[in-house]
Amino acid sequence: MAAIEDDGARETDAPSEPLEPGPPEGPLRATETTGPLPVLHVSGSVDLNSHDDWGRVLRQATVRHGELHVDLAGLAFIDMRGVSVLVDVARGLPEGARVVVHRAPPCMRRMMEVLWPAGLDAITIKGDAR
Amino acid sequence: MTAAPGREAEDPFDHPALHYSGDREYLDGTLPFIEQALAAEGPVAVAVPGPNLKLLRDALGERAGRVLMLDMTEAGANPGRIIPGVLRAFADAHPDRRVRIVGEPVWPARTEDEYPACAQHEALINHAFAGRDVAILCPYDLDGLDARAIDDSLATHPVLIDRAGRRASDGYDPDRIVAEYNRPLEAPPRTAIEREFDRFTIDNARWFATSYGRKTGLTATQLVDLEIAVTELLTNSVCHGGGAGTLRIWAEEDRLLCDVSDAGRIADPLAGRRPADPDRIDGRGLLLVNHVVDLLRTHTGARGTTMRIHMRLPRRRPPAGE
Repeated sequence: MAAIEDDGARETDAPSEPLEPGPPEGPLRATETTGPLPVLHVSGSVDLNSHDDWGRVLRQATVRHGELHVDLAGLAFIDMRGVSVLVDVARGLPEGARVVVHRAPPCMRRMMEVLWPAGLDAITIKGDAR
Repeated sequence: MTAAPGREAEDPFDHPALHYSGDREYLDGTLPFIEQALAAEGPVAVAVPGPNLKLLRDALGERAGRVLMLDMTEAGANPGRIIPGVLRAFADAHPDRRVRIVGEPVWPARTEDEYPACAQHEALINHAFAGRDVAILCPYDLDGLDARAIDDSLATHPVLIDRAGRRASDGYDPDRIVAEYNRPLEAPPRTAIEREFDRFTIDNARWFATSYGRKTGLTATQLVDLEIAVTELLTNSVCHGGGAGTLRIWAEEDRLLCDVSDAGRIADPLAGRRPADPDRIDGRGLLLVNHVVDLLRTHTGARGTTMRIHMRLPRRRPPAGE
């Protein structure tokens, strides 16, 4: 696992530099805060260049008391496969456990609403990103 | 099990076109179909344009409460959304019963841009429901529709019902319609802005398209939908269309249009029209596009594929003080 930093956040695996100058959001970055309620903070964007990193970061995140908390306030964009990866990880959690998504970006809410209109037991979405 | 000699095994799927003229014939053609389902306590849905929806609602009275009633001009504005979002959504929710649906996807106000996608949709219903215990009755307005739409309905429906009764349609040939309306799209205007893209510039292309949409005046919700749709098309090109492509975007008076072209060919005409498979992580891109845009048109062939999305622009308010 990556080094623990002074502020209590630790870097998890994230992709290296973007290959070309991109839009403002930049590449996928993820840090997990430690403490009684570990939260995975994700920023940048999830697209076909970062699906593998996204899946890895989620699978390595801490599940405590049956919950994996992800804060997506810094996430500028996530594509359909990125959402599917999250759903896949959530469904792969032990029986009764779930992913709690905080401040999901509007595009993710929209995709969930279209593709899983009845909602999913393994995912709870809380709060608006903006 | 084999079928009795001299007789084809019966396909429980029934897909008649109903040619009607006026409200009386509309009700005569559709009400008994709905009442049959109600009598059997079977699932029944009606997805037709607003005025016909009202006509049926009034005729059904209290019984309308037992029918799923949808305005097709909303639920099925983009014809590519009708099979997954309306027809299969309803049929798949009742897997053990015979399902009946009145579906009217073609109406007189359909535009020239929409019509080819409507005709292809009607043709593809036959493939999407082959073998299913489903009946879909499709009314066609003889007074309001042009001859082309009426002719095409004979090719897209194996059975025709009109005032003369019910009979097999001689012209039934749905694959001809799918091929015939797979036509080159009208060339974008010279004012269209063009961007090449590949795996490494996909985020730039997405960002560029949403910036353009913002400048053009799309609402916040539409911008999210544009971003989703463009990204899925770009991703398809990179993953399945030869790794790269061209994005072209432009605005007309009342809409924003965006083409994504690549060197691939779409072999499966039902791509993007099947509901998502919960056990598969991929294959949802085009389905999602169909759900969030106002119209998706496709031209695909040996020389490549172009997918064109249409987004209606919000009506501009007149400037203050005028």
